Amino acid sequence: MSKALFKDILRSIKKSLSRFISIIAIVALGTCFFAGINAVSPDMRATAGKYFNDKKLMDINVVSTIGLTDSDAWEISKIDGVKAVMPSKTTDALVSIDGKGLLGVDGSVFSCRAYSIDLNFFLEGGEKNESYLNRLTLVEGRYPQKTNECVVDGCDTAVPKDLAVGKKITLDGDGYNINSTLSVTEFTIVGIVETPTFISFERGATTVGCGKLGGFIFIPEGAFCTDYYTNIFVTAEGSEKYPAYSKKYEEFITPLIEKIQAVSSGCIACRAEELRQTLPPKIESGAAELALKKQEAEEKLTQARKQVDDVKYYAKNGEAELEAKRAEAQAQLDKAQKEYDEGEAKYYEGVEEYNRNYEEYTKALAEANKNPKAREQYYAAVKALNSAKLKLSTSKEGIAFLEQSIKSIEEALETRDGQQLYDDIVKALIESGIIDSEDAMSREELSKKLVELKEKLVVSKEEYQKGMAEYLKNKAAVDKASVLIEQLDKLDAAGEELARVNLQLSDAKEELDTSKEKLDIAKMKFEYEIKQAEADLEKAKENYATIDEQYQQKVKEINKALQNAQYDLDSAQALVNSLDDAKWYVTGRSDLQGYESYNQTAQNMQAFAKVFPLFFFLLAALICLTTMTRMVEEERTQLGTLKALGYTTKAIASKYVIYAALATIIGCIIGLSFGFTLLPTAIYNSYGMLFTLPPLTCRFYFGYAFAGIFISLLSTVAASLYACRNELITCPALLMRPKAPKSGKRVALERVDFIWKRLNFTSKVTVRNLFRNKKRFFMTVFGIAGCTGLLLTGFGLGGSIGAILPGQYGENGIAQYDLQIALSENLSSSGDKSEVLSFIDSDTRFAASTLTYFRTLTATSKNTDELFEANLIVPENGEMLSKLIKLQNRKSGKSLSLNDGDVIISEKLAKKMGTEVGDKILIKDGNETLPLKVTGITENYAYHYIYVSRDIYQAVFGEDVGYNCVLARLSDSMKKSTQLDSKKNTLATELMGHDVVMSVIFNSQIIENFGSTIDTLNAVIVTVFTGAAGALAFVVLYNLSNINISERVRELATIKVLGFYDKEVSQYIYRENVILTLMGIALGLILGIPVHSYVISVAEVNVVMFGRSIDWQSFVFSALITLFFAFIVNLLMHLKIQKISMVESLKSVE
Amino acid sequence: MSFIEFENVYKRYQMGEVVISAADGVSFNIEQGEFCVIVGPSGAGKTTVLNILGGMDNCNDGKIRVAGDLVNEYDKKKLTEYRRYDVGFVFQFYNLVQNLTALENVELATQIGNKSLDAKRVLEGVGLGDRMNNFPSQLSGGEQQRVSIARALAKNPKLLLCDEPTGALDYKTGKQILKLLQDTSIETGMTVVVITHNQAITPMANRIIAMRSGRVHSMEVNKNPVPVERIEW
Repeated sequence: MSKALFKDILRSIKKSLSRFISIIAIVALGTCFFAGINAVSPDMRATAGKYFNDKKLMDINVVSTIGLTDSDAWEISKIDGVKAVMPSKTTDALVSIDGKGLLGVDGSVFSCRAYSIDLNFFLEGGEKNESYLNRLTLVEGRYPQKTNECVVDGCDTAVPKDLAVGKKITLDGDGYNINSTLSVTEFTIVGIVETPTFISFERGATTVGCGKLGGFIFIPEGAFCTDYYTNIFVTAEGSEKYPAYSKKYEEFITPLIEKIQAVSSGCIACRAEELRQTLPPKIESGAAELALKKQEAEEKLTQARKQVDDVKYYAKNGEAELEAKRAEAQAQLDKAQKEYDEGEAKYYEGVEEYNRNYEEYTKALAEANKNPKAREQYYAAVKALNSAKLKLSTSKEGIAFLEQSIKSIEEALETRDGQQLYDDIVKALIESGIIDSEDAMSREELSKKLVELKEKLVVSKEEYQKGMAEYLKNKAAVDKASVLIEQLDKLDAAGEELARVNLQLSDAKEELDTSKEKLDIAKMKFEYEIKQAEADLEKAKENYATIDEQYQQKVKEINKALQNAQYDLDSAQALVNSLDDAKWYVTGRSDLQGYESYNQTAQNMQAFAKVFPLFFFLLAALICLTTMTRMVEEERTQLGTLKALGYTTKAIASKYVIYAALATIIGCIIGLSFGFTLLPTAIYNSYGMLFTLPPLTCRFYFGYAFAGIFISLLSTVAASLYACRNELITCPALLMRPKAPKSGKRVALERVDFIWKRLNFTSKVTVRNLFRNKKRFFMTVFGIAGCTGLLLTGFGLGGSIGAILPGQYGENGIAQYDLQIALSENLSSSGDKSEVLSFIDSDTRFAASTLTYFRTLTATSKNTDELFEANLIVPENGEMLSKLIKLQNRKSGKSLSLNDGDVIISEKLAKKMGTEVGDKILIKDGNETLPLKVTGITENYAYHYIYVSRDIYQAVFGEDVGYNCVLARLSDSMKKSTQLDSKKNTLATELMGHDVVMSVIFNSQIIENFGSTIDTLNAVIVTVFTGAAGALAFVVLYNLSNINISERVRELATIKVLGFYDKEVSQYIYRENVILTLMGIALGLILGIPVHSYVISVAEVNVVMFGRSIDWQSFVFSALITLFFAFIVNLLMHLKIQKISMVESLKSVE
Repeated sequence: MSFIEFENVYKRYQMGEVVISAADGVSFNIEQGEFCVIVGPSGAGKTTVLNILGGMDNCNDGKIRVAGDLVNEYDKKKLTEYRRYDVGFVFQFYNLVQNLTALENVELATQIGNKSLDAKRVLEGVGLGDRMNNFPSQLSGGEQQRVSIARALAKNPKLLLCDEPTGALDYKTGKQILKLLQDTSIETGMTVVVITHNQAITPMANRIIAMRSGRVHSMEVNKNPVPVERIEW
């Protein structure tokens, strides 16, 4: 190839950079997805394989029904092909922190598996020890150094947060005596570890707690007091050479397993014999001891009981006495109160009367005071009267005297006899003063005197009359006044009376107040006394409570001890009974939790790898085809010229081939570098929360790289050649002339006159343009459809994943029960009325409940190697179960019921095991495998369930059903009430208050705990799909629009010249784009549905079933986002169209 | 005031350091209703002048008046309007939309005009009454050019600009086209400006503008234009 031609290639790349880049982009996309998706699977396996090798994960696990000994370990290690042997002791236990039983992340009782670990492994140089298998990775804290330290499982999704460094945990047995297994049961957590034996969040099943194993812990060997091992882990010589999960590995390990199985019989016989010798005597003596201890305990307890009863009696009676006393005192108080009240009433009556009287008094006083001088006047009058009276009486006396004197004198005068008498009378007269001297009182003088006296008498009588008159006047006045005075006096009296009454009243008030005080004091005293008495009683009660508690505690302890002893005996006896059937179980890695499901996940990824990259490569080819066609068309004349100059077809074609190839190779490089790193990591990380493994080791796979490059080159080069072909066959002359424009054609629609006539001009143009270039038509439609389809799949997937928890636990979910109550005892039937059952039945917060047996076990079938962890549920009442669990077949929509003879399994489980109605599934119960015939398949979204009717359970498992779980639904009123959370907590606490209740789990807790996990997964998926879809839409649309415009530049320039506004010119092109986009969206939405179903079935994780339906929002969003991308492209096109220079475009084509 | 006035119009192109003046101080005027021919050798600047006059390009300097309006000051939008309503353009290579029939091609123009004539009648007027529903690929060169002219005329513009309208046609057909243009000018009083490098047809014009090296070399008014059928070359 000539230098000039080469320069031409480089320059045309520079000139048409966007075209070059669009090819690079689509190729990069294709190879990225191709490489990435293909790489995920092997990368995942490689990562796991490396991890297993680094951590010396066991290849084989040996378990014996009668325990393994050091000699067994030695026997195994002697076998040819065995590299290292690590014996281990394990026990399953319940965990409590600070005295409270630990609950798992889903609210169920948390049980752990304690593995023994040799502390020497953690010392300096411990890694060199070949026997250190299943090596731990320290995530936080440190390794244990003392016998009472441990390290624990740190998996967020499996283990509750309480299990943290620094916490002290206590292990307890469930159905067995932990003290016979562990000499130390209290441990301080000093670190968090990861182990290669548990790579997923699944932990498996156990016989303790609710059947679901919560997590693992590693405790020092020294904490175990058993003399045998539960497991022997074995690694095979040279097993690291074989890639994990490969067939070669399987084939390598199997012979070794058989070899180990071969030595088992000898070892078993040895061990069995040993046990036969040692166990029976121990059992005997143990039994005897137990019987004795039981007796002792009984006696002790009876005594203690009596004590407690005494206290109780006091407490009860004290109550009654107190009551009596209180009643009495209360009665007295009441009486006093009544009296007081009466007195008070009377007082107030008196006060009222007083007030009334006082009012009257004041009124009268006011009246009286109108005449203030009344009294004075009266007194004056009285004085006058008295003086008048005196005067009168004096006057009267005077008169009398005068009369007397007159009389005497007359007498004297009349008498002539006796001078003596006359002298006496004169003397008397002198004495009485009537005459002055002893002058001889002649008769004449006497008569003169007499006349004088008579005159005086008349005067005196006159005076007397006057005086009488005055006296009478005065008397009248006095009488008048005295009436007034009487009134005044009365008033005064009244006033005095009132004052007296007032005084009385105040006295009375004082009395009243005093008595009130007294009453209050009495009341206070009464209350105080009562309080005292009550306090005393309370104390007594408390004492009783404490004593009772202590008693109960003692009872518990003793019972526990007896129970433990019984357990020991029972397990020893069971062991003895099993000696004849003893065997070893020698298994490989597939029994490890999560081992197989990891592989399955990796495999699922490969399914993706078949479909997606193909789509992108196809598109790449198409885009390349159109792009190169366009390019060739543009350089038509140049082609012709070169041909005319004598260049060979090959040389000319080479330009385009090189152009395409260069773009392809650059695209591949970009695509591969992202494809082998970003994409697998992104996918791996989105599954990350399910697995505990180191970060993905990304490998470069030459195979995929070459395949990718090859396919890309093939598509693009083939496309280029095809594009050139047409032109290159044409003769140079024709080439150099402008290409005859494609002739216009009538479109089929035009014949439909009816519609055609109705279309306006521009619509007609659009329709014709649409069908003018069929290639472009299909490419745009399919490109858009692809974009919308991808978006729909992405959103649909997100929705499906998001539908799991609500579908299972939501309002209309499969689980119509709201809570699961785990019981610590197995009730034989609800006839055994445990009080908690009556509580649930009668409490209005529950709407329905049913008693069930709940256990986690392993299921499989003949059609698969995989083991599935499933929840077994055996209801007491099949009908009630249907009310609490929606049993229905999703595909047929029919509802199912669990009647006698029915075994219903969940849909996902059935699908994974390839089971249909009528087929058998196999249940692994301990070491046995039991078959169950399936009679129904029910819809289910989380975990696997097997519903078995009572009679079948009894028949197959050979034992009566012991119910250990209550499923209950809350009443509607409870669910609608405010502060539902605190009400739920209260309910849970009340339930836990019943001894027999071990745990209470609300479905809402489960949703909460897993919610965030699912949200993250969702986000990753939606982002990846949206990103890919966007890139796709963009590249396709942009490219095609570009080509569209360049092809029609003349046309566009012409109409610009004609005077079309910029907007109108753009619309000329837009219309077609819009219609094509809409058609593409419609097609995409339709095609997206089956793609979504396919992706779901492939990407689904083992334990969940993704929702199958796509909600309308996904459709709407997919359409809208596609339109958005289209809009952006149109915008860019608008800018490009605007730039079209009329002058340049219409230059003569010469 | 003339119908069309060019006053010292400059159009410069910057090619790196070099400045090329396609129009180097062009001044002329054309009266309404005239049939004007602009002649000159290749590179004289004829097409540049026509492009500027047709509102497809801006000038760097100078004034351009059409019917009294200053076209050189028009912004993009106004230029589009100018092209839409006031100018009819006929190209050398017809530039018909291949996907539309003859009638539809003309309708393309009439639909956006505000004083358009009836498309069918215009087509009949150019003699294509019975070829209206054919696609351009089904028409001969002359017929296509006639459609192009019809398209320009149907808009009922103020002036008709033709860039080498007969360049791609043979002698006879070319003459027919020119006759059509001349008749249109006479019958409708439309101002027609034709660019050509063929000196021979200048007698048919009312005004002849000769351009050379971006300037007007000479401007002649022809009092007695010759009907084109009578011209031989």
